[in-house]
Amino acid sequence: MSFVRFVARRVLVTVPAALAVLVITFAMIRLVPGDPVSVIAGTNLDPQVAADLRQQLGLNDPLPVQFLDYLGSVLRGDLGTSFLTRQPVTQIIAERLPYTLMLTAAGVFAGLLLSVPIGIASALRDARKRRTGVSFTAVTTLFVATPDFLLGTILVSVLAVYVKIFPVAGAQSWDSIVLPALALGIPLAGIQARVIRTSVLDVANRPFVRTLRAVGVPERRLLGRNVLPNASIPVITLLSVEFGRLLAGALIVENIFAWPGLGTVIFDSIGRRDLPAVQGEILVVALLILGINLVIDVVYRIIDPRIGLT
Amino acid sequence: MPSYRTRIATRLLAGAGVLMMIATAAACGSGSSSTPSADQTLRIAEAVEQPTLDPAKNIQYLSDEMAAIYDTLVVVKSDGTIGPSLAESWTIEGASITFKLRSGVKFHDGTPFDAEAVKYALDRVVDPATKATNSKSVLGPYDKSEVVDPQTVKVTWKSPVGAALINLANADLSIPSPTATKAGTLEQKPVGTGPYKFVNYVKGDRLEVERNPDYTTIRPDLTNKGAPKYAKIVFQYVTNVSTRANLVSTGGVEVAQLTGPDAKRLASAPNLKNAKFPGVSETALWINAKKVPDVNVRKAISAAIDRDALIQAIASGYAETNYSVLPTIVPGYDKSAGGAVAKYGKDDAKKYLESAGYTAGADGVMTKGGQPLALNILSSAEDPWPAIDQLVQDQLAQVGIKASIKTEEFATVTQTRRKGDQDIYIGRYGILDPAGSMNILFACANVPSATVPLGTNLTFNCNQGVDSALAAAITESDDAKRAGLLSTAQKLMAEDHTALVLYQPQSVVFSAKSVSGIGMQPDGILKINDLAPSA
Repeated sequence: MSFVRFVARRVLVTVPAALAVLVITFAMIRLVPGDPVSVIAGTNLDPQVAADLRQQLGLNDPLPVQFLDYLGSVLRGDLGTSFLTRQPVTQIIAERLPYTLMLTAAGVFAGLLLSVPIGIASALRDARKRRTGVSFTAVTTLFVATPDFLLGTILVSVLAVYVKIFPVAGAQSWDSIVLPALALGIPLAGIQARVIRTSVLDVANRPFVRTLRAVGVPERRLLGRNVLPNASIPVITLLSVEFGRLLAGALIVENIFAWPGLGTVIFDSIGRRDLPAVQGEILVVALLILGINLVIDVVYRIIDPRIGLT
Repeated sequence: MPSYRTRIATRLLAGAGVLMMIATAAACGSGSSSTPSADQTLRIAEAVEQPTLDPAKNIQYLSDEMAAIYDTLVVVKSDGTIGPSLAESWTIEGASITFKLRSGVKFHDGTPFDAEAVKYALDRVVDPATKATNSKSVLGPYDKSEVVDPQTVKVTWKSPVGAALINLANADLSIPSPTATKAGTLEQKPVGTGPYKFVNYVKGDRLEVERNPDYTTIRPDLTNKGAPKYAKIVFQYVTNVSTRANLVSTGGVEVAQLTGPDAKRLASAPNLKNAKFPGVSETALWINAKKVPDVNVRKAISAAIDRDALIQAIASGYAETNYSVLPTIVPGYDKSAGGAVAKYGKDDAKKYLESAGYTAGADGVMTKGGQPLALNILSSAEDPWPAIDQLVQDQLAQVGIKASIKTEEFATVTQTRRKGDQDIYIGRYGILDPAGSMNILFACANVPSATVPLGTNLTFNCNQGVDSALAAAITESDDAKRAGLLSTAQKLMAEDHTALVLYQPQSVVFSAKSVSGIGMQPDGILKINDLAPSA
């Protein structure tokens, strides 16, 4: 199969997945009980005004009509208008998505910053002592096992309230991102450090490394030029797998830190049954993950042409 | 060789440590530069973000930032009477009010504020193209506005509206610049006549406003009648109350409203002060009269509830008892109306149940004709409702009433509660204009049914006396007569025991010691222009 055909087929496979996402987001928010107009109306709105609102929002139309309207608009690149803010949903996403991506990237960076030194150091130590360090296992298990929302709360209590190093919440200065990024990055670092350790140990024991060492390549150069690059492939694979989880984590962590990304707005949109906003926001997140998977598959194919589609 | 590897490991760990230290040190540097006050910027943490900055399209009531940017025609003073703001004076004739407007007032974009601007703003609220909800509901049966001369406008309703002035003081009926409104840019860049001008808005994070140097006001409720004392205000949006508490205690913001345990935690913080204001919402228990038709049973429920215990346990003491259905600071509130409500007393509760024909069974549960008295409680699953449900359940059990609890997510419960399967609904309601709001909450026409699916009367009770008193109060322009009608409605509601106020939460404003002039309007909005750096 030629490369072009591979890419074309891979893109075609994404289309039904995207369509399924579209149907599921549309159905899901309507299947759960709860009514947007009731939420907007609260206890203070005249029932007549509320009834007019239902008509205006198109909620009196039969569901198939609502779905076809929605599908048609999405194909034209229009995700509808928020019930609450009367703002185009595409605009809401354009305002919020950069913050979520920034946080996700910072989370990956924090994860690498922690996991690379820990993973490599532990691998080198284990190679020397010929057994796994207990402290390494304890630390990484703790990292992995702490949910990001709990971690976020602990980080705020210690580093923002008790010692006041970082801001409690918001996005008003560059250091606002540090705590949410750590809340996301630490659990990631736990998994990554383990993968890095195993991978470095694996590569370090391969015959070519032994040969190079035997011919007198300096240890430092051996590590930097031969061991680490070869050990990095599983780490990149893991990152791509973890991306979806990380994005989901970012959506939760944002709420703890009042970070103005998609997470805070999705939370609010669901709570208030702002149907067009929920649909659009979830659709974009899902498409983002589909897109990343597509890119990764294509990149793998470039790296290793044996990979095909089953 | 092994020793060499160890050195690499040590260096890598040390490297990571150094990176963390650099980050920490840099963070410390920026942290100390943002200490409060001196720079004349005020930061206020807001619990709720405005869905839109266009007052006519807004669906939220409380809003400090809207009051910073916009002014209303009139204001409600703390004693409940009406004071001037953009309108200097007014005369009421039947269903019309003629306003004499202040002269020399300009919108932030330079457009003069005049009768045309008022007419344009009000006409726009009822224009179907605006798709207004709350503002339309507040404006009521509006008919038209006529420009008499540039400083005089005559506003006419289809029928007299007793609370017309109270309604025009609502932030939803703020007057925006007609130039900006016509240009369609009001939502991105709001333009009003208020003390602060819009600067920047980062959705989900903050709204920034700067001093309007030309600002003057004749509002009698404000101390500062000139330009604002802060150069800039940043409204920071933080939904989570604990996060707001952390922000204000660490100096991340200077002002924040807190509730419950977080308010209690910071009550004695040495770097903060706090001020309590009466709220305009009631935490209440609605008894479904269709399911619980016997008033003696409803009285027993009222007598079973220890309201002081609820205030301590749930509101951490930041609440007041109130037996009327109207908040204590709303014009027309009648304290004596609450006299008819059965007060806390377990023996009284049991007596009411006995007069309803119930007798205590072996297990202490009251029964009638072999049927135990079992009630179901419905509420939202968000804080603080489940805790209130449980306390009420326990208090009911003490007088022999078995209660079960069902909680649902807020968006779901707003729908479920209209079906009327619950015996008791526990939640909150707010009052804007007393007659209008009471009518929405308690009128016969608003009992939810197949024909009124969005009905708002959760008592499911139709009391003709309440209906006629409210109908008369809505159109009554004479303050004393309206108060009399409202008093009748409050008394009848108290006798019915269908809507029991559990407590009236207070608004507690925490602020840094560097901020002075903390005050609150009766509608729960901060008196923005009075805020000033302490000398």
